[in-house]
Amino acid sequence: MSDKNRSYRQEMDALRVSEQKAQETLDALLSENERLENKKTRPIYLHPALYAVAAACLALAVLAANLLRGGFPGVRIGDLPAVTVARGDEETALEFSQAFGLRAAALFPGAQVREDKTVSFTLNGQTLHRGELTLLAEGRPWAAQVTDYEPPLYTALTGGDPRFARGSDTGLLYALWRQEGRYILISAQGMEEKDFEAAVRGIMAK
Amino acid sequence: MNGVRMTDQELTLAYETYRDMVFRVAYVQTKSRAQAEDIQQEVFLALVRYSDRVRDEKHLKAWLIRVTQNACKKHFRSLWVKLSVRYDDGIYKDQEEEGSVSGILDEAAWEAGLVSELVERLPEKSRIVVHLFYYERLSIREIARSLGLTEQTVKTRLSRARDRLRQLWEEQNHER
Repeated sequence: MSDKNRSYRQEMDALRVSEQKAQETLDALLSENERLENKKTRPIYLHPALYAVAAACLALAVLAANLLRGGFPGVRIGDLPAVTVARGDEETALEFSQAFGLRAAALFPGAQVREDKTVSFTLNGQTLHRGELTLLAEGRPWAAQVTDYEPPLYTALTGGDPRFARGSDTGLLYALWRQEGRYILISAQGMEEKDFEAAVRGIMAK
Repeated sequence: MNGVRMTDQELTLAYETYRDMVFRVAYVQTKSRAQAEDIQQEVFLALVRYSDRVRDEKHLKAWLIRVTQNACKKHFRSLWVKLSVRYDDGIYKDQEEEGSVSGILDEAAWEAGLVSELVERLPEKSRIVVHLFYYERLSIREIARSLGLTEQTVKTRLSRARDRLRQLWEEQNHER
């Protein structure tokens, strides 16, 4: 594939995932994410007496392992599931949803809301919230997400400046920033970069 | 954030941001466009499943490189590849040696002079280190973290790769 003496950087810059494969991969990712999202972990209800039996069995197993190995088996905290879906925190979730809904209404006047949901969950004893909104504003699809926790991609943010990105093939435009202790990610399709940036700056100023 | 699954929007952004990086890392090792494309898909599907383990963006990048590296190793282990692909891993022995690294880190001009045809002739272990150092501009520490190697091993591999590239360059010029 290479011309002799073509620079390594030039060669690498030209290497990109084909558009067809990229779209196929993205579809597969979103489909898998949806599948995992829908795969709810249902609580297992046991008769109270069975807890005692299970605890006794566990204690015996630990004792046996202890005796056989001559040491105390360690518990791997990292293997324990960290996230559980919270119930009974509707008030906070509602407040969050309302704040997000009001903000969205102010940000996109005349927009048709397609989906507006709030997800609440607990992580290490702390209740966290995420608001998700998809809408059609001036004929263009927008997706917005507000969280009260820091998602991984936000750690590169410095100060209050938004970070802009453009999907190379999809044409999706992104902006993410921190505001009033919340993390906001907005994406839009079919816009010029300068119009998108101006819209985001307007949203930030509200 | 560790413990929280990525949303569709975050996944899409992560994919848009890192897909070509993952593809190139896979390509550098497999030298096959089709296989590199399959590997990048495999890597991002793994991200979907384990996105709750990613702590931050830096960690995400290192995680993707490491998973790509593992996917490539799996690829090389498969019988089909063993039977159908010849790849040159005989130039260096497996054991690491303490090597001189003088001159590697401060010669930005080196990068400009890297010729892809010669880089492709390096053994796979050296190619990936050269790629991450000169193309992705990762530090020795970041490469070590991403590949699960010690910093000394990374320095040794870079040093050897550079010596080998110089040798290949001289041989090529001599042939002309």
